[in-house]
Amino acid sequence: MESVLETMFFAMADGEADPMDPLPPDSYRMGMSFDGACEGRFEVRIAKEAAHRIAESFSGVADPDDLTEGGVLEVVGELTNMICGSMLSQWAEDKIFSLSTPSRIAAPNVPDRPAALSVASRAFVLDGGVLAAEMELTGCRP
Amino acid sequence: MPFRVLIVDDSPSMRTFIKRVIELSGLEIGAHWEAGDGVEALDILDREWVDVILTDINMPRMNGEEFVRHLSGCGLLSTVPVIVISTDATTARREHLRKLGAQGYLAKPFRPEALREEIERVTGVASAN
Repeated sequence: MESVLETMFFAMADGEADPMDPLPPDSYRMGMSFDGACEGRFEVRIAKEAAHRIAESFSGVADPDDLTEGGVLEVVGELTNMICGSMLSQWAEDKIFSLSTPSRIAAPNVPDRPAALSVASRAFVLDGGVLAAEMELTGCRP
Repeated sequence: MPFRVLIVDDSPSMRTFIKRVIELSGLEIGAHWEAGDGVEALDILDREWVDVILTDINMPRMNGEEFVRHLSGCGLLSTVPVIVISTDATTARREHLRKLGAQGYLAKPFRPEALREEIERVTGVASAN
């Protein structure tokens, strides 16, 4: 995750956070699914200010006011897609996965969900707030 | 040498980012075109010639794999190299796209220098220098 943040979004993590801690109500939450060798879901939750800072860096806009919320969400979608792809590639280098397009989830915090095969989550403190990511495996093909 | 580049990705922000990264890497862009999927890209290629194509995989209407397959079928890959830029860094995917005819593959995240090296490699500029 850190590599994606630093290399593509020019964002440095300033320590880790507890991925189970709730984020502010105006935070963004993006989700996507994947299938192939294994199937599951991946989600990113990010504080609004952190999302704006990342989007400004990624887009290279001279004036932050030029960035719309739609533009910020598009970048958060890219971030979600990249972290998910990077994690899957590292975990199963010899497998092929198919990733869905990330979409916004209305509720910013994680609701109770049925138990999955495996869940991995991490969170980082970024400039502007916390970024939390969670990968959930629901099934794998032998 | 200024490059004529076609960037194919369904994300406008990613297309802008790739163009910026190419410029940050020190490569000169003589002209560039952007397409949201393989269909748009083929429409551009009907009208313009380019030095290199950078394409994503997951796109609507015609995805990157279908796009590369089409370029191979019409013979364009013999004159215009394609670099796939994707979040999928698995060796299985890389090999699959290589067999379809893609000359380059760059997994996200990537540094500007890596993109420059890949463009120079597939266009033969590196060997000429």
